[in-house]
Amino acid sequence: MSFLDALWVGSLALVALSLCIVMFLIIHRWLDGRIERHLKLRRGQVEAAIFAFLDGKADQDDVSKAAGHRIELVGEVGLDLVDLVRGQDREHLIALLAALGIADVQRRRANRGRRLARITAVARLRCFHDDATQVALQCALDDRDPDIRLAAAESLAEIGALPSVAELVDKLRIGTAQHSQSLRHVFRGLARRQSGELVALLAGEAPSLAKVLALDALGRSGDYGVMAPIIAASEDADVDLRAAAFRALADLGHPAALAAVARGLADPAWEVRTQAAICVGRIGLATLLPKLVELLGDSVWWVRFRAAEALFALGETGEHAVIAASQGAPGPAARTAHLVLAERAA
Amino acid sequence: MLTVEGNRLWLILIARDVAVVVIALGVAQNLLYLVQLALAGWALARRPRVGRSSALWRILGDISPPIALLVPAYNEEATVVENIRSLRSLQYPSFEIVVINDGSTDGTLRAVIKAFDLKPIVRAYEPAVSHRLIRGLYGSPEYKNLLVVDKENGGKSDALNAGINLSRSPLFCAVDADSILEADALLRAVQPFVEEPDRMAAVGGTIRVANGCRVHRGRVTAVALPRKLLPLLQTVEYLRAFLMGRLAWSKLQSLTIVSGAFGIIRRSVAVAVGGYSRGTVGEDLEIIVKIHRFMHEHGADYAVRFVPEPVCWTEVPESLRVLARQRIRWQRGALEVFFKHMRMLLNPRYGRVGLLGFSNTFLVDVLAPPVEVIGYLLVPAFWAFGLLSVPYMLGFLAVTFAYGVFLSVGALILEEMELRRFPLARDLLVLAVVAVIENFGYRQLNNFWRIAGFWQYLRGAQGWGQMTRIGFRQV
Repeated sequence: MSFLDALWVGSLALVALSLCIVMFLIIHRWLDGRIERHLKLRRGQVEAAIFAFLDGKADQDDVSKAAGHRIELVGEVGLDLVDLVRGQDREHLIALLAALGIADVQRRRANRGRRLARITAVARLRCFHDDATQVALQCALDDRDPDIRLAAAESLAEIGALPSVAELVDKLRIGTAQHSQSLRHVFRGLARRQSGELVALLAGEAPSLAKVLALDALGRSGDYGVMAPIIAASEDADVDLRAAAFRALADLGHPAALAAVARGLADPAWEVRTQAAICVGRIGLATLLPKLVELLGDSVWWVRFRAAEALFALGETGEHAVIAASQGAPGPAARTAHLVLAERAA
Repeated sequence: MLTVEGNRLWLILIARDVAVVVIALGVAQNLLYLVQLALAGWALARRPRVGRSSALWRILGDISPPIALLVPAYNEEATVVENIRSLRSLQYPSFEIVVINDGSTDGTLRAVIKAFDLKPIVRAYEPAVSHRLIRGLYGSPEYKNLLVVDKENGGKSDALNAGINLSRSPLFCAVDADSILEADALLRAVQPFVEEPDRMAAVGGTIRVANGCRVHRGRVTAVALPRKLLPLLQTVEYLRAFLMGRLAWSKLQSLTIVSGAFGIIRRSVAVAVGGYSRGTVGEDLEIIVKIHRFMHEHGADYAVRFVPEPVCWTEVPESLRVLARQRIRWQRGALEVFFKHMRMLLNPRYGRVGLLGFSNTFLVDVLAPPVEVIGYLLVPAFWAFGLLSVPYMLGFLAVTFAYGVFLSVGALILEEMELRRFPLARDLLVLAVVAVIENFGYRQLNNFWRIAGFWQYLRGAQGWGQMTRIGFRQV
């Protein structure tokens, strides 16, 4: 075949291939449309049957019949509804799904198939608290895919069956392969049951991100017993850790943080000074008012702005301090105070 | 006689060399497209882990960072109020809308003030990046997350810079005043910032053609293909550009543009690079290139991503005149950015962006338009000198067209298998037919506009030209 012939044959092949693809797509869409229409109808029937079940007007068989005994369909509809119902209805719905074998289906899907389907299945297993599900999720925690491991950790956190903190940090490879902010959910789940382990993590050699997550979780725990390790973290060499410690102290809102916050207001890193200033306002540490006024003249705008906001949070005395600063010698402090006052007044 | 034969020999040699260059460049560009198609397919198969909006809200609801929506508006009186209402109804836990009236000469500012009962306010802010004078700020206690900035006219970049200064969120999202974001677009686009909070510098989403779609109260309620040919041709182009091109470049970590109609950028990064460069027409391209350059020069670990699912609908030109202005402007913008940052080209210091992303800009925006036009000009010239083999020319032409159609169909596969926004099976057929039609005239027209953009760039032309909007089809 000559080069010219090859050009024409190549062109025809490309056109033929394109035509075949378009035909395939159209037929695929047409068939899919038919199936989808049928499924939509079925979904509506299953949904109605599930609501009837929750109202005590139908039983398990009725739900199964409504789906044409297609358990996967009940699972799809039911697991979508789980996020929309609360209280006893939610428990009844989960019990129904478990009784119909939906948990088994999701466990199987979590193990094999397309990656996205596996991730969805692992996330959906958070509804089921049985031992087999916990085992499946523990296995998923060892998966090669970091997203599947994360989804497993989130589900385990929701059902309260997370492994030890150290094991979790290791398996999720936090700070190396995993940096997601979704880990906050997982760590907040840990703080409810394993706050001691989180405290130990702060004292150990864990990656910085793991410690930041631990501080966030401890701050939200409402447990004043964890103040000491958080205050210790506020003196760490790592800027992220110090800033996270002050965020946690602000969340806890305990005045015992006074000395640490006073130190934080003079921190060399502006991110830490900003968080410490926020802390003053959130906890209401009125004795630190003079230091906040000093921060109105900070070299970084965000520090000045947060200091002004904190002063307002301290009430009338703070507001007077801002007014006084606005009338002081011209400079960043007076300008910031003036602008913030004007913003409040408008 | 000998001289005539000698000249002819020279001509043949030159013709052969030029033809080889033109063909080689075409082959290189086409191979690049094939690689893009494969990479995009792979990237779509491994796209982010969350599907439905309800699941997104459950996962991201309390950990997603606040976003400032920056909406530059210049003479948008007819649509601005409805667009703000549409933005206010976005599903996102924490966002503020900063509308920047860039010295409009119509009643844009008056319309917004009246619709939301705004009053003059003061806001403390850091003048981190430069822009023209702000004449006033407007807000209302009833619409706490809405801030309107009235400033002197300075162009889109200037308006965005003012928005950056006034926003207080760690992320900002530049949105065109005439675009419509899908309700969950922010939730979807913010995912990379949640997954890699320390690395992510900017994220872009897909822009889709809204002509032909039904719009109700600032929402696309029914997706449909445009009825006119010109927007249809652009629909195919947008599919190729976003689902194939940007996805592939993002996968290669060489994405050099995040669309100005919808893109999220980390505020601190934008401030670090000095914000948008004023007086440029390709501001969306330029700021991303600046970010790449800055990050590489400072040895920072960072990423710029494209995520296909957050969708922003936009109205595309329906007349050749307006489309020509837009395309000429785009070409001018690309050239401005390329020559401003030319030192990045093939410079290993700038990693993959310098080696791949910038090489692509060089090939597609700088080299390809003149070379393709040279190709078109040489054909009659060679024919006149008897140097043209018509069968070969037709053969190459057939391959080029067939390959173009194949690539468009490839983009359709990606759309159909992964996103599926077009509701009817018939739509696929229409798009496939349009993919064929575009080879006959539209493609050549595009090249002509690119050359016009080249010429304008060389002449140092400034300004945007007027963009005539026809308005969305309302229910």
